[in-house]
Amino acid sequence: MSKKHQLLVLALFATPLCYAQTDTDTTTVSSLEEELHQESSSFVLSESQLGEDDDQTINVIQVGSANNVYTSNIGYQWSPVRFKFRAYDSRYNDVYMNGVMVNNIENGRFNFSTIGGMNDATRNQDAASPFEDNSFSIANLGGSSNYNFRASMMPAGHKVTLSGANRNYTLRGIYTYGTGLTDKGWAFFGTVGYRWANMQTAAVKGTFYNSLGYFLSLQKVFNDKHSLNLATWGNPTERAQQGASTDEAYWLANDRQYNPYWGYQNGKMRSSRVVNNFEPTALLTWDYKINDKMKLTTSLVGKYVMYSATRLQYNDSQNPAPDYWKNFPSAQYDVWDIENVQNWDYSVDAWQSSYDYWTRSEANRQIDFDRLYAANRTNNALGKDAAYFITAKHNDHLNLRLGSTFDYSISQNLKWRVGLQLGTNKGMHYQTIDDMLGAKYLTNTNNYAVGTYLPGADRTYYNLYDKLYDRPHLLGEGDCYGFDYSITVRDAKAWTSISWDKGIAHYFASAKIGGTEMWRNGYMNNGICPNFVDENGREVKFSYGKSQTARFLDGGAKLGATFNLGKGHGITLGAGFETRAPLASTAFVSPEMNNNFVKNLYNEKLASAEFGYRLNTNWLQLNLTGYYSRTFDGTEWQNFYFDDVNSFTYVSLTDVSKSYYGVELGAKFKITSSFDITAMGTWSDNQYNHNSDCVYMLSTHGTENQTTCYNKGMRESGTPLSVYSLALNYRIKRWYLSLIGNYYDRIYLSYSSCLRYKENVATQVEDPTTGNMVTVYDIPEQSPGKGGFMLDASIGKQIYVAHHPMSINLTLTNILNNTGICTGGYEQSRSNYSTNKNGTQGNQRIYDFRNSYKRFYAQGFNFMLNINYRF
Amino acid sequence: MKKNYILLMLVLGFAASACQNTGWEDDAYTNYTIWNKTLQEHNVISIQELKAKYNSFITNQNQFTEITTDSMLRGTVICTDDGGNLTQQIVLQDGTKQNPGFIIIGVTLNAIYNFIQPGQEILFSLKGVYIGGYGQNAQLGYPSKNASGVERIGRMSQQDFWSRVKFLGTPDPSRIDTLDFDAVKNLSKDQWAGCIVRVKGSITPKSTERWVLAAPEDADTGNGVTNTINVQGGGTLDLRTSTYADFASYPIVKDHVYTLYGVLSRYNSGWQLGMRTMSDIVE
Repeated sequence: MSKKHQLLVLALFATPLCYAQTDTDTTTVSSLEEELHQESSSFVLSESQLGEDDDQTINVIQVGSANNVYTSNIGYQWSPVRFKFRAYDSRYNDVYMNGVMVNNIENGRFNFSTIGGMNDATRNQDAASPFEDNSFSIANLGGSSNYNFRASMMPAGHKVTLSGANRNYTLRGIYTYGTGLTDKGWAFFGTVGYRWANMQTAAVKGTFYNSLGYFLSLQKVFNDKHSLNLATWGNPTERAQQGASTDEAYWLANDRQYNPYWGYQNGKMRSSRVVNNFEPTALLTWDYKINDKMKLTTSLVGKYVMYSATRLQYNDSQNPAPDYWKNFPSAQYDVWDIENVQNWDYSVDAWQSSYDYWTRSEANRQIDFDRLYAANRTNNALGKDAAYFITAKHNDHLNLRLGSTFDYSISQNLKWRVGLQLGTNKGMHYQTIDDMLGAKYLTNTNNYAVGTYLPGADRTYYNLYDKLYDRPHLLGEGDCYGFDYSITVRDAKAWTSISWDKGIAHYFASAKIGGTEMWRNGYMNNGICPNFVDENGREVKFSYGKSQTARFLDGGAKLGATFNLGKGHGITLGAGFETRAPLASTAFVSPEMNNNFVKNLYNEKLASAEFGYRLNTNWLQLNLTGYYSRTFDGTEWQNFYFDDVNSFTYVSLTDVSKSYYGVELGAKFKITSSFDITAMGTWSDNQYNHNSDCVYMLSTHGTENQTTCYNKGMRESGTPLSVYSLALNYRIKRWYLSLIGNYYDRIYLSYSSCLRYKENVATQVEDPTTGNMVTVYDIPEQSPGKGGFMLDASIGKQIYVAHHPMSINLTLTNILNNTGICTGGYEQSRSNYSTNKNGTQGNQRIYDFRNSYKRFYAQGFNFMLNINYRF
Repeated sequence: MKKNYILLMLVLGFAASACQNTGWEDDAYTNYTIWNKTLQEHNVISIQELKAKYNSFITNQNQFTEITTDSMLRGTVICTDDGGNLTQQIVLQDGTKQNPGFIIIGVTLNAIYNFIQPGQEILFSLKGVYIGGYGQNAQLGYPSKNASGVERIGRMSQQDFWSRVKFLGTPDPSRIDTLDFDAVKNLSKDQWAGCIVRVKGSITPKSTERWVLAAPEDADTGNGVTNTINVQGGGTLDLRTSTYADFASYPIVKDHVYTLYGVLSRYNSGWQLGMRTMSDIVE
């Protein structure tokens, strides 16, 4: 390969990095800023707060189009409160790697934590906002980004990074080495990082972090036409989670980071919620430059996801959670209604006793593992099933995807792209016994159903074949418990995009079409939903075996234009409509139990539009954007323990329609060559447009219950809908200083669907004027989070050690230690009264669930010190 | 060679990132006790003495009072809440076979049976505990008030309960006497309510539409169903079953004579049987 060709290829593949490595004062400070921004990205901040079933870093936003002050800054600046771009779920944000989409096909989301430990490998990315045409996709509703993992794109040389923080992890070390493109056309890049915190050092007590990240990429540039790149990475991580709790618990613990998920075992701290995640991935990319106008990029990615999350389970025994509602002082005395007839002197004393117990020692408000072992020892003596045990819920995936994009520059002003994305994913979902906690016995039976059915009855078996074939179903550690099924999804999508410049305008038009098919395969014949023979003598595979296959055809189109009005003024317009196959993760009523698809399962429809104004002058870069999106025929799915009926429940919402709208402003004022001020703000809203159809199934019955969920007006949770911020940035003599003030507001908690079932909100009352009975609806307001002001700062300095650059960055977050910002949480799915087995309302409880939602609070003052040395 | 640094770091990284959540061996925690090791036996009184002293609070509807004297009970737990029919309570027995005493202790704890086995001898400290009667059954606990404003003896907190209990030796189920109902039915309810009995007879369900022990449709406001045992040899006995009992859906065969076991309690002037687990029903 001639040197000329090598230079050409280098120019093609490595241009941005060349800038980054140029040793000028301005650019080194820029790279300092970039590093600071990346270190502040949310996926290193909030993993421990993610729930078991939404452990997909739902708040991560990667829409950082560099052309837009707002989108290029929100990702790092607002991550401490888990800001979501336009409040969209992360399934509306597509992530590509070398042109192939890597969102999980089953749930639509990309798990950013899988690339969390390899920052040096993930710096090169193209990001496109929703109406920005790009070289790899039609941008999703929440934007799209494409990581470039080609080895020749990565910087050459060694780099060592050492970090200390009081966040999820305490220490981090990264070693990176890249060759750049050699004379022989080879390029290698590798990075290995390790992040660590134990229970004593982690910012949230009772959590730990133990994560190794590696990334290896090897590229061979054969000639000026062909290049092959093989990249492989993984991020084996073990981490303990933080649980949300009530304000009462935070008050009793005098700590808004109180974590009910851990406890003591023989004097040692132990977490009940540990996530293990490892997603080894390999990505093969073929770049084919057909000629100066045409190029073809094809990538094949394969990955095997091993994900498990543990949970402490109880069986015919007292809930062991330290913040179980009956343990609170307010379960003894109604603090919300002191006129409550149940409040009397004895309940005051009981309140005080409970308060004293909570506050007497930390151990009293954490899990008592020794006690759980003691209970199991008793049950061993009685020959009974384990009272307490820890399960691991596994969500493993085998995923293979192919993405290919043909890029044709028809003329200087006209470009055409066409692409294909093919994918298959087998999601393997099962639960195993992780720790028997000293118990000898555990049968694979549905103890929620015991009572409704006799012990040993067919319907109490999680796998009826255990009984029919007289298989021993006593379980031990590692055995499968409760459910075991897989969901297979295949999809194929083709897209095309054309863009052209004419006069003052740049236009683009794009369209796509795709097909998706999905089915479930059950490996347990659930006693509640057993296979049976219908009247025609055919076996109906209700829970065991392969379900029917659902197929969907979807597609859509997007149009956009940018008009350059001169003198730096410009406007952008965009509109799009698409239909989208329902996600397999929401397509089944109760996939842990049976093969039934949700009824009325349709493609989701999405209509969106955006209008933007921008101004670029010597001293001001401004972006102002307004947007409106509306979704129809959506499907949502939840599962949780439904206390009212003493049963686990699976809830499907269909005919879901939502609106999203708002305005966004970003303005960067260049005061001097070294000092600028950035102002950003957004006001947005989103709501369910009407009540949703609801089907729920109980784990104690195999029947589907239809109702209406009165969720009209509910909003997306866990993100501020209003944010206003001002940042002062100063750069001088290899120093970078920034001071950022952010005000967050209008945060909501995740609403509980069952509290809004028609039967729970509708009551018959007599109309005082007519005397007729009329239905009135008492629909709870969505429970609030709490906003507030947060002051952050960064300082960075680059120096030279032995003629090599060393950068030192310090990020200070929440300097004013505002611990009162509630970033999210959820309403408890329980009523203020007990429900009798015959469905009638039982005793009124003293404890008030409507005022006792579970919330997460932003971490108080925290910092990260980061030292990089390149050589 | 430089690429080997990466491999070396990778190997070192894997070695360093050994699991943190390991090493929770089970056998290291057998010394744990949930009960109060510091209790010393003193001023032990009999259950009969206790019941006699507070008889008016036990027999009068919804009465209770605090025990202020520093005294203790020493007895054997003869029944727990295993089976879900008798919830959040245990029955304590002391005395001799011929002259026993029985009393219920109410505790706000689901599945007390996880921690106390039938046949366990215990010391129980009385000072500060409340005593009263529910259906004239003597009960130790803490005052409660329901949403209708009715005040009566309820359950004590589990922290309070465990602070008052000390286990003596290991459980010995042979300490539990099972009596024939016929032998007890004419004895003093004040003394014998709480004993374990055996009774033979057929069962007539509350509703002949549902031939199960406790269908939710038949439940009263206490979430229980009272069926009738047609005692072999004559007479009847109420059979009380909670809709939350594990065996609530146990099918009743018409006219079939069962041998039934359980706690014989009183409901004011009458007897009633509460079975403990499904093994208390013998076909």
